[in-house]
Amino acid sequence: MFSLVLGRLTASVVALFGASVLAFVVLRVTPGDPARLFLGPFATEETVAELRRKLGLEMPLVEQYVNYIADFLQGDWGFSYTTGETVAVQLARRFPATIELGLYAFILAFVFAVGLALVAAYRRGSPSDGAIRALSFFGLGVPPFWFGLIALVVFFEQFGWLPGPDGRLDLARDPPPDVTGLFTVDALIAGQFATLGDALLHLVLPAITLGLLPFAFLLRLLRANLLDVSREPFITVARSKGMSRWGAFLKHALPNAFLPTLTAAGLLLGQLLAGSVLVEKVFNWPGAGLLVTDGILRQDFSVVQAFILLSAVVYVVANLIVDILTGVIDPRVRQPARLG
Amino acid sequence: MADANAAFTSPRDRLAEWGGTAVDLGGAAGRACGYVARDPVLAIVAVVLGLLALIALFGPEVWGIDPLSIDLLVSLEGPSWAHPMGTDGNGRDVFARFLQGARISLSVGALVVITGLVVGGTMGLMAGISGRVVDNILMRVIDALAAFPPLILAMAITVGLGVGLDTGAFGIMLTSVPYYARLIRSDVVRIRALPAIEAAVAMGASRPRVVLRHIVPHTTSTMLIQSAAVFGYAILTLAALGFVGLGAQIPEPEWGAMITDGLQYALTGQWWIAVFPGLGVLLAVVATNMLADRARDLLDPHGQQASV
Amino acid sequence: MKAADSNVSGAVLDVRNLRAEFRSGLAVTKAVRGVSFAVRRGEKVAIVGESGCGKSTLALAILGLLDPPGRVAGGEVWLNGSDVSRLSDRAWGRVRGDEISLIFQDPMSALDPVKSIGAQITDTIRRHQPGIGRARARRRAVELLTEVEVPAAARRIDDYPHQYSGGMRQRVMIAIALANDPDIVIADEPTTALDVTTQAQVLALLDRLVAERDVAVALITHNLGVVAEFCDRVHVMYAGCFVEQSAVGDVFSHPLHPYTEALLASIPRPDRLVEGRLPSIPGFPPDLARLPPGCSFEPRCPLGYGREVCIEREPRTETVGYGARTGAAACHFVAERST
Repeated sequence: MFSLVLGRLTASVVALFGASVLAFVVLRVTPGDPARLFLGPFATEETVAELRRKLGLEMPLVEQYVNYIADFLQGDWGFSYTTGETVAVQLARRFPATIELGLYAFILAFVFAVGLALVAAYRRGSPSDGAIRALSFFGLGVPPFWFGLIALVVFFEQFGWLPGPDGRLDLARDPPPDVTGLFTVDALIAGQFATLGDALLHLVLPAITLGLLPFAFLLRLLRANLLDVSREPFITVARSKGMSRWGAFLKHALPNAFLPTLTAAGLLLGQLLAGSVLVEKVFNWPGAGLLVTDGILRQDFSVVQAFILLSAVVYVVANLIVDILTGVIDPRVRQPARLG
Repeated sequence: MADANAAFTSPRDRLAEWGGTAVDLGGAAGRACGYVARDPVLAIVAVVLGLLALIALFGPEVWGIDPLSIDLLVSLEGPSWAHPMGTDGNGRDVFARFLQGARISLSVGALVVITGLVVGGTMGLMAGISGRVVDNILMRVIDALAAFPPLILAMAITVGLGVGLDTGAFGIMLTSVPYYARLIRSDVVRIRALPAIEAAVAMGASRPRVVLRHIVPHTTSTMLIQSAAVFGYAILTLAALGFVGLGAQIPEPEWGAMITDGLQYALTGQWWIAVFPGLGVLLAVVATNMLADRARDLLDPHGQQASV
Repeated sequence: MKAADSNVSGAVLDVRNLRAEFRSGLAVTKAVRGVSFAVRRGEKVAIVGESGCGKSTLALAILGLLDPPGRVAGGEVWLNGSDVSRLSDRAWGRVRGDEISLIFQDPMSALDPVKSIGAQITDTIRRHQPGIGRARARRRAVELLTEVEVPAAARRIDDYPHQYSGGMRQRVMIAIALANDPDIVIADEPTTALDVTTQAQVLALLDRLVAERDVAVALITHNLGVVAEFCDRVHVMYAGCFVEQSAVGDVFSHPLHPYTEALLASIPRPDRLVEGRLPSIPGFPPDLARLPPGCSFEPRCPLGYGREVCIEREPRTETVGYGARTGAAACHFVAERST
């Protein structure tokens, strides 16, 4: 067990190292002037030259790389010349919004995926199974930013049932006192129920849009795993004990189907990270993703760079945790077989 | 050790071998037609994809209107006979842009699949058949590529190398390499242990022969199935890059960029600029995913082959 | 539902003309074609046949566990005097595991890998004895494990299935099947997946427990040796039907049906040297989706091959009785063969 963890850890560290080298090469070494990239097209030649010196772009590559990594690990993620703030500050301010959106998107995706996968697998081959499968194809194929747009057109513009792309709360409303940075949680803590309701309303469309791909992905995976497990003899054994078909599905098939599904959790996080870049733009959601897309528009790439490297770190760590967790939960790994 | 077979294989025998392979392929094509005939959903999917391929190949020329030509007099007009998908803010014909966008998306999709297969597939094959050292080295490189969520990696490439359609396509190609590499590698590792391969080696087949004639054919169905998924995924990612402004740049008629363009008009009633390109992406991706699914049902019903 | 007419007196299980089939597209595979038999309290009957003759489907059909694309197409199953063949899944929940239970063939995959052995035993105890309480159920489970000769039961009850060997897992299955003192147990090839030594041990265990509790057993197997050791009566199954039903002693000395005779002849015996090839039954079992109108064994039958009556008409089960020997067989020539 321990060797397993150690092995995974080393692999992750190596992967991160490789990723950082790749990022360094692509973002710093490639033709084109990183200093120009930072300062934008309107800076003067002198400022660019000065920045080049400051950034140490004249130093040997390996030294540059070491500084690059050292800076990153210390939290120096660059400076944004268009806003006058360090990237770290900006990201820290924006991350709670992204986390809140991602959290709700995940919860929605998870709950609906499990529920519908159970129904689809239980009623295999029926029209409801077909409809659910069709839904999963749709979720996997629809561009999330387009879906968000359509949703806005229908629910906001046509029917006026839900708020438009004006961020996390109505413009006239103040955010609740900051405890976690998640408006829904903070509003609940402060007892501001009107604010809570408003925040939730604003979350509906963005969360559904962001969660659509993870939902479809989980649904397909879980349904396939459930079907595989339901063919195993121990399901029939459970029923021979007197368990109903549905009971056997819930108590025996689902736990066993979850194990192989868990391995996809890391992938899911990657989808949420990438998706937030797309979805936040559509809804003007003030999170890290919008920061990135705004940066692209303004040709201010310092934020984009930092986000890229951060995503890699989060992604690798998440996959590592998932790998270890899968090993821990499976009793076959936790307690190796004894003889006799 | 020289190939024990070489002394006994005349050019005629070799020709017969390749002829045999051709017949196999032809037979497979025939079977494929049989499948389509029997499964209505598969038939619909095949038709949709066929149509898309047709319009990608011939659409822009047949329709005739230049997707880039500006005519401010007819800007923001809804769908009509003259402009079946309306016009955008600069009076450009959306339908012409849609057709050109189809060509762009489908060709990038095909390009990504081919390069991913060739590069990633070769890496995976090498890793699968080589010793631990080579395997490890190759896989660590793959791990470095796979450490980024795919869209993020493509964004990194376009930011570093300069934004645009070509760098965007290159970035997406890079994201498909680790996917194929891992896939082919695990498939090869599985196939390597099959008794058929042991038998071939025991009969004296040389290494390259074993690889090419025995191992690779077993991987073809995996490659086919997963390629359809990669194709769809490439189209989606290209649109995403275009949407955030890192891929194709306006006024280039790429579907994702068109959606961004239409964003500003969508909530004021001019829905057609953003909706149609999105429908295009949706159709293309869903159709290829369904095709991949059906192909999997037919070629690998028991889920024996690798999937990542 | 009350028992309408008097079923076979004292029968725990009374299967009447049970039919089961699988539908796939337009093809219908008739796996069980009119099987009838009864098992009395404490009796041990064997259901013998080759792979694919429908034995396992029969077991599932009796228990109402046949899932789509399979279905019960007709006939009745009476358990302890009540008709259970039309019960809802929910009503079956009270019967399965309590009055009738099943022992499975493959101990490797018959237990949930992510639940402890103890949990899987107490599950069935608490299901049918509501209000028993966790502690008591657990103690009962330990008792059961000890009864089935699992060493250090109290310690090993919390282990997981992968920590038990195949033979031990089969013992756990027996424990689960007998936990609520059922009236009849259907054992589907309980020892096929085990090595010979373990087979003998498990069978001896089963024998002892069954005698102690006066449980009826329907043992499904293709191993005639096991049948000789363990059972009182034998039903021979071929292509979805019972072709012979006799007492064990009679079946081995005077088989009534040509198929039974051929089966017995094909068993290699260490005390009888064989000249030339080992006798086997020529041909293959029939495709259950495309059965001939006449006797399904005719193409391979040394007696009936080519005979008109065998090709055209399906034989009915005829009972024969002479002296102490009673039995039944589905053959046109039963009467001649039994003299």
